[in-house]
Parts: sequence; C-alpha cells; structure tokens
Amino acid sequence: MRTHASNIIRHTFAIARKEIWHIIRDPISLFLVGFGPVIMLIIISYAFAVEVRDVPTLVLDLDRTEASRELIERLDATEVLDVIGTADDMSGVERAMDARMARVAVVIDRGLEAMFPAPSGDLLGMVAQLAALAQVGDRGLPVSYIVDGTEPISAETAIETAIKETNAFLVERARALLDMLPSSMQNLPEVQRAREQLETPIALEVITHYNPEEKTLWDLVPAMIAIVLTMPAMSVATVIAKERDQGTLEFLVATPAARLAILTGKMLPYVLIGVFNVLLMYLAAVGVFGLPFRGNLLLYVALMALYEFACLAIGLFFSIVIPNQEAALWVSLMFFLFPGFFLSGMFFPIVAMPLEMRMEAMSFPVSGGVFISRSLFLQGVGLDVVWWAVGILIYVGAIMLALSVLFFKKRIA
Amino acid sequence: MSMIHTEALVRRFRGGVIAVDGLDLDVEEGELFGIVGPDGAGKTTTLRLLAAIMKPTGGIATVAGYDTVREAEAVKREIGYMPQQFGLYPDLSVEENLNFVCDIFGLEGEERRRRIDELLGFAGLSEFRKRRGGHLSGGMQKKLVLASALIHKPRVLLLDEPTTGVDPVARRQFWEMLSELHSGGTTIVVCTPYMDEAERCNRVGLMYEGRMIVCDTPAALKRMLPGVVLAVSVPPRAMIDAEQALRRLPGVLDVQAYGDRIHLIASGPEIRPELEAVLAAEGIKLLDLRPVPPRMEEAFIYMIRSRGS
Ligand SMILES: Nc1ncnc2c1ncn2[C@@H]1O[C@H](COP(=O)(O)OP(=O)(O)O)[C@@H](O)[C@H]1O
Ligand SMILES: [Mg+2]
Repeated sequence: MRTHASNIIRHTFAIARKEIWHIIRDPISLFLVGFGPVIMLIIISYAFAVEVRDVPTLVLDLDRTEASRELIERLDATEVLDVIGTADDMSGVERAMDARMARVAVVIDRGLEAMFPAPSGDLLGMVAQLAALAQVGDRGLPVSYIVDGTEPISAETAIETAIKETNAFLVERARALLDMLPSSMQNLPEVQRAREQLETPIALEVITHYNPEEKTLWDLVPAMIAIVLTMPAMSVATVIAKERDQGTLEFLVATPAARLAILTGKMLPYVLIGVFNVLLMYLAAVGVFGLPFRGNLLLYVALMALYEFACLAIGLFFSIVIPNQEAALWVSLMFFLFPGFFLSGMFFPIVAMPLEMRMEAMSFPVSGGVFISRSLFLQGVGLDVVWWAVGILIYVGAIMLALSVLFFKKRIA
Repeated sequence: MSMIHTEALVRRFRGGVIAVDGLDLDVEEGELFGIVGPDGAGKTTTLRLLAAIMKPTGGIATVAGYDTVREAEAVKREIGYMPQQFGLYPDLSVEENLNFVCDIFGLEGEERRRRIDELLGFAGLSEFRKRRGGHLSGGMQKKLVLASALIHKPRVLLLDEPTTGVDPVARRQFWEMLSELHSGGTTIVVCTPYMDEAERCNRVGLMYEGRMIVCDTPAALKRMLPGVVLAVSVPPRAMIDAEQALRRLPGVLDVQAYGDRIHLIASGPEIRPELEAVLAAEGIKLLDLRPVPPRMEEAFIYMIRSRGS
C-alpha cells in the first residue's frame, strides 16, 4: 500500500507528462510558449528603445556672456536637444512648457562666466580657481534644468544629455584656459594637478547609480523579462476549461488522480518552460542588447522560476473559476499585461507613487518580478535586498494554489 | 451486500430539473445491468452519481461498499467509468492515452507493458498503437476508452451509451468484450438506447423522467406486456393510411411501422374482426396478420404509454 504523499507525487508526474505531450503535439502552442516570451522581449525592447532626438529645448539666459552662449551652442549641437528659442523670464519658460512647445528648459543664472577666472596677473590664482571647478557640484553651478516628465524615457535621456554636455563644457573650457597659460608654467605642479582634477567629470549630482552608461534600455529589458514571463500563465489559464470543453475532464475526475496533483501536474511543465524562457531571455539581453549581468545567474533563474510559479498559480485559479477558455484567456490578459505594464514601474517609477499604491503594486506579482529581475540583473544584489519581494511571491503563489485546490472539485457541474 | 446500492437517490439541477428522482437500486456482484430510457430520462446523471463525480441532492449511493460522497476517491479506485462522450485525449496516441492511465494507477515496467498489450489485443487496437485518439473511428474510440477504464481491473464498470454512434460490426465486437468481462465476474452497469442490447443484460431497468419505472429480467419485462403484438402487412402504398386507421382503433395501445409491416400492441387477439373492418372501410387490403413474440421495445413503449395515460 502506497502512502498518500507518494500518490500525489506520482499523479503529479502523470499529469505533467501528459501536459508535456499536449504542448509538444500542438506546434503553434509549443512555439508560442517556448519562444513567444523571448520574441516579445526583443520586439518590445526595440520598440521602446526609440532613439530620443531633437527634444525641443528653451533657454533662459540671464548671464548673457560668452560662456553662456557657448553652453547654449553646445546643447543645441547635440542630437538629443534642439534649442528652439530663448525666453525672457521664468514666466515665459512656464508658458512654453505648459503649451508643450518646449519639453526641456535650461536656465542659466548670472555667474556662469564668473566661474572662470578673468584674465589677470595672478596666474597661479587663476589655476587655483580652475582646479576648484572640478569640485563645483550642482549646487554651486548657476545652471538648472526643467524637464517635462510626462514621457519619462525621453525626459530622462534629455536631462542626462544636458547634464553631460554641461559637464563637458565646464571641463573643456577650463582646460582650454590652462592651455593658454605660457609654456613656462605648463610644467608647474599646480597646473598639472589642476589638469588631473579636471580629468574626472565634474561631480554633478544627478547621476544614475546602477546604470552608469545611462541607457534606459537597460532598465527596460529586465522589466520586460518579468512581464513577458506572464505569457505561460495565460496559457495555463485555459487548461482546465480546455479539458472541460473537450470532455476529458469527466474521465479524469472519475480516476483517483489527486486534486492537488492534477493542478501541480498542470503547472510543472510551464514552470520548466519558464526556466527555459528565462535562460533564453538572459542570452538575448546579454547578446542582443549588450546588458551586463551583475547578479548570480543561478539565484536569478531560481527566483524567476518562483515568480513564474506565482503567476501560474494565478492563471490556474482563473482557469478553475472561469468555465470558458476564451473568457479565462481574456481575464488573465487583462490581469497580467495591462496592469503589468503600468504598475510594474516600467513607465512610472514605483517610487513616484503614493505609498498605498506602492504597497498594492508590490503585492502584484508582476511588480515583484520586475523588481527582482532589475535588482539582480543590473545591481547585482542578492537575497538580502530582494527578500521581501521573494516573500510576497511565495505568499501569493501559495495562497493562489491553495485557493485553486479549494475551488477545484473533482466533480462535474 | 450489493455491489451497487442506492436509496431514494435524487439529483435536482439548478433551474428545477429533477434528473434522478428517488432512485432505489441494487446491483449484485457480477451482474450485467442495463439502463434503458429515452433521451433526458436521467441515465447519464445516474451513472455520474454512481461514478462519484456528481453529488446527489438527496438520498445515498454506495459502490463496492463505499459511499459516493464521503468516500468518493475510494469509489474511483474501484470503478471504470466510460462517459457518454469520448473522454480521452484526441491529441495523444492510443498508446500514450493508455500510458497516462497507467501513470495514474501506478502500473510500471513489465506489468504495464503486459497490461497494455493485453488490453490492446482485447480491444482489437494492436495495429493502432500510434494513431491519435482524435483520428480513430467512433467505434475504436469507444474501445479505447473501455480499455483505459479497464487498466486497473476495476470491480465495477459504469458504461454510458458505449455503442451509440458505432457501426453494427463494432457494436457486436463491443458486446463480445462486455460478455467476456461479465463472465470474468466484473459487475457492469450499461446505459443504452438499444433494445437488442438490453436483451443481453441479466436485468434491465427502464428509466423515464428520472424514475426507474420497471426493473427486471428481459423475459419478465416482456411478460409484463398485457396484450399481444400483432404484425399487420398491407400494400406498401397503403402503409401510412393503415397506420392512421389502426391508431384510431379502440383497444390498441401502440402502433409502430417496421418496413413493410405494422406492429400493434393490442389488448388481445379478439381485436382481429374490428381490425379487418377498419382496414376494409378505408379500402386497404390486408395481406397478412399474425401474432409475433413481443420485443423489449414494445414492452417499454407500452409501459411508458400506460404511465402517461
Ligand atoms: N449539468 C446539468 N445541468 C442542468 N440540467 C442537466 C444537467 N445534466 C443533465 N441535465 C438534465 O437532466 C435531465 C436528464 O439528463 P441525462 O441524465 O443526461 O439524461 P440521459 O442520459 O438519459 O439522456 C435532462 O433533462 C437534462 O437536460
Ligand atoms: Mg445520456
């Protein structure tokens, strides 16, 4: 006499094996579950990684000096920014931004030119002032930027370009002034030190931490990995309804197959498919999009499999409570994809949401998956940082599986 | 203790349909029991209640000694159930379907191989091992489901219209299989719309509107028919008129046309002169008239009609 637990395990494998046969037998569904996610990842990532060009930029130049004009020219010369005109005062800037004529405004206060030493006899004093530029920081800089955040990806690119260009302007102008010193002074230790200090970029504070190359695509791809991993969950949402529709559920429920086993058996192949997809998408992210993978790959795959399990448990629950394949598919599509895109912090950073909404967003498994994927991929952190999201996934997965077992009756009608 | 036992078993559906209405049934071990009845009589619902895949709304049922509600999973270990529709996977091959059922019942290795070979031979499906369930003919599908239901050597077989939509040759083969199982001691409950199949059962129950209105051996059931069955032959062109005329005759319980003959159930043979008179009045020539032994079908039609009136 076998024990109950070993029955459940045997039944799970029986159902899982059968489910794998079903998937293999249907080439379209095999292709969709096997390669759909990585194809989606590549398509969506390319579509979102549009080049940001010629963002209309307005200038308010209160310095009106050679230096300010040079900075404006430099900004205009970039591909990202396009200086469309100048404003006379702040209200002019606001009007243009409100009318959406300009998406970025650069305000140059009085004092930009004054940051550079005026020609004088005190050459060493000039050197010291130039060296000090390296430490100016964004508080000391009389330049500020206003950006329209309604399109976060282009806003971020635009502001990063403006900051980078301002940096380059300060450094290059200072070094040009050093070069103009008489050749007898060029070998002085003060001058050489000043040069070295200007070697490193000026420490303006708005600098992205885990994405130093400032590529928004890098944020997007790991998030997309988590979002497209909901695709197998949508397939699972139809499995029970499918058995009901084709009349096989009646035979199945009349066998002694354990309830839990029927459900976990149906999920198991899709968890494996999820792992396969994660590996494939990891390769695409690194190979096609050139992302660096900074975390532990084994941990990443394990946590993504857990995330897949939580999504599958939800899909399975839909499949049990919604008696019709098509309706189950639509409900899971609406549940996973639409809020997935919005709540997962892809368009709106989660930190910008009110706290209650943040809690809600985080208990939504896709948000947890996006968070874990980004954290491990780009930041290279481990369980010590993502543990709470892991906890949410375990909780959601277990609750949904328990509810599924509760609602799934080995009976018809 | 009966192999199948029900007491006041009721299944009412939402909307008020009472598909099974107070069924008291005992099927003994080793019995081949037939349930016949028109569409919607409650046959399928009865089998589902016995297979423990539907909850009764009243009464109790035990199968192989287990309660179908409290010990549903134990019941499922003892039975082989064949749903009315093809219950197996159309995208899986014959062999894969059987392997799946073996997986469920934990049949492994040599034992599994032998059992599958044996059942494929029994069902005449040995050459179709690799064929997908969905590509089998109706008759082969039924045999495959029966083979699957037999994997674990169940003590009780519950078969819901196992030969509906199956050609006569396959039907005969199917019944040969059932006879073999029956002689092997398996208790079988089979629902069927075919009266000739009912004749092959040890006992037959007639279901009508959720109730089992009679239940006995085929011979006893036929004896319940109070009158006689007369076969009337008339010229082919006069068939319809004759049928109409005979229906109006007092003392006629049922009239049924079979090809060139009309069978009528009459209260007794003394109806003969009136019958001849009615046909003569219509100008129909009576070619032949003779009593024939009653068929199951006639017995049931009579019983259903007499209930209705
Ligand atoms: N799941 C159900 N829900 C509602 N009514 C049902 C259901 N199943 C069967 N019925 C009704 O119960 C009656 C008996 O059906 P069924 O048991 O299928 O009869 P049979 O198998 O003899 O044709 C019919 O009127 C049918 O419409
Ligand atoms: Mg039926």
